[in-house]
Amino acid sequence: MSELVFVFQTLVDGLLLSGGYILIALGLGLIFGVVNYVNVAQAEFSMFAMYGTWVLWIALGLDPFLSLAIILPVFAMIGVAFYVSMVRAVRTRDHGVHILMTLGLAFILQNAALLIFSADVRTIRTAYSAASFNIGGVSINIVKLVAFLIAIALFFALIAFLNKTRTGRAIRAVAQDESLAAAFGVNVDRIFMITVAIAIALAAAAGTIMMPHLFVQPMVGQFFVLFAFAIVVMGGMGNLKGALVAGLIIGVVEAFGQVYIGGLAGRIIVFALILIILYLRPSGLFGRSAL
Amino acid sequence: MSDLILDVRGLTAGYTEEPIIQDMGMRAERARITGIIGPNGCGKSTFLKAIVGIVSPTSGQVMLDGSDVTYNTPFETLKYGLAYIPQGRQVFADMSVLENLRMSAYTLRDETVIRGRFDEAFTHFPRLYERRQQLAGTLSGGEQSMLSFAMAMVLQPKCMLLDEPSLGLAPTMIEQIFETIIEMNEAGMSMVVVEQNINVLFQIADYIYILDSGRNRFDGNPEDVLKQEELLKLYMGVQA
Repeated sequence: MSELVFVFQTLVDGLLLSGGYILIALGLGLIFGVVNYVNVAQAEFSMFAMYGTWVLWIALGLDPFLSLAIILPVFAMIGVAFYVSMVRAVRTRDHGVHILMTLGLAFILQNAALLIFSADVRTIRTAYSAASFNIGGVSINIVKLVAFLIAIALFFALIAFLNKTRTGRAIRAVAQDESLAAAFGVNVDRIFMITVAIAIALAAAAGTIMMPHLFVQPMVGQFFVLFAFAIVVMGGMGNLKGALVAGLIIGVVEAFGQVYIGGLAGRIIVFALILIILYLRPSGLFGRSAL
Repeated sequence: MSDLILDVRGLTAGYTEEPIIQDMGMRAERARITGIIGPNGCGKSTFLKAIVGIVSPTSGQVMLDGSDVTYNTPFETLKYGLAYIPQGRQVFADMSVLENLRMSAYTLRDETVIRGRFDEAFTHFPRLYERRQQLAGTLSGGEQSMLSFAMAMVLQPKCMLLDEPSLGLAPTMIEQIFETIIEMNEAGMSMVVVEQNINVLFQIADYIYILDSGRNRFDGNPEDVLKQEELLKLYMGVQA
């Protein structure tokens, strides 16, 4: 394999792996931008969605990608429960309060997963898991490609929802000026609830689409959330388009780091890059808001 | 016998236990412009906010066209037909002009009704139609004022409360905004206008209230108010 093909292969691998991170970061950014709430347990919902996908596969033989049809609505409802029980009462409080509460939730969810599913690593390998095709020597894995395409489709669906629908516009209006939106008859509490439901469903979608090419164990969320926060910070807090671009960049940089530096140490360059970007542009690549 | 659109009696309100406005009253006639003036910090803005329910009054009564709207939320008050246009031209900055109008029509469901209201607003403000796809945050101050007017108009209120519409605008823009106010008033809109810029207000208002330290100080026709030279000098710092 020539060096150029190798570089392209790494680039493609990085891009394809970024889909899950982008979806987790979109949810984080959405909750932060609209509800002004910081949820550090976001990726624990992804972790549970991975187990959910695994259970549906083991018990019913349901294809992991098809299980989105069940996972998305179920986790949207879980998002509603999360909003009612943990977000609503402390929404206007300091971010530190949100972080402490959701950190506690993350520990509870991790240990619950440990109790229910044990510490064993679980994987899903479908009949087409190893299938791939070749473009000019660059090998593209079908499972990773489908995961990436679903993530990008969900991103554009979210943008279209926010821009073209009445509820979506109300979400953006609340993000921009809560009291002005309320003055025109928007039920702000309901908008917050819908926003959190969407965000948790996105986190769950991330888990489900990553399941066929990754693995799940109770602590897996800790890896994801670090990357998701990095994406949100790099793209600009609450800026969804920024999250997409930052997610793609971080996916690629991580892939190159792993190839050229190796293993976990490769991740160092992801965070080094974020430090450099924030040094040059303190409010992220695209600045805040613009929801 | 006068025809009152807004009748406020004995309104007391504030943010803490110490009320900012005390026992304040105002009677605004239908299809007229009622002006409110007073020195900085006299409670003019709080008075308007208490009328529409942004600040909850501790006592008093607000009657809008015969209905008691005293303890309503701002949105309920708006549904009754009382629109409040706050200081500082509040618009959704990251939304286009059209999206801002869509938000003001959030509670209207009938698409033909909504279209009709938008057309009406655009007839009043052709400039907004030209800029309908532009983000509101990138409009000039005067255009943002027009947009907040247009957003209030979409719900076809019976009466509009304007909090210092001239604040922070260039002189030509101020002229334009007041022309709009006169135009809408001539079309039958009842208006209550709070202003620092009293020279303009004296030209357009049918009746004027002077507030001081959260209380009514004087009220009358512009001619009567202008006769109160001492009062004007003392509170407005202007030569009448």
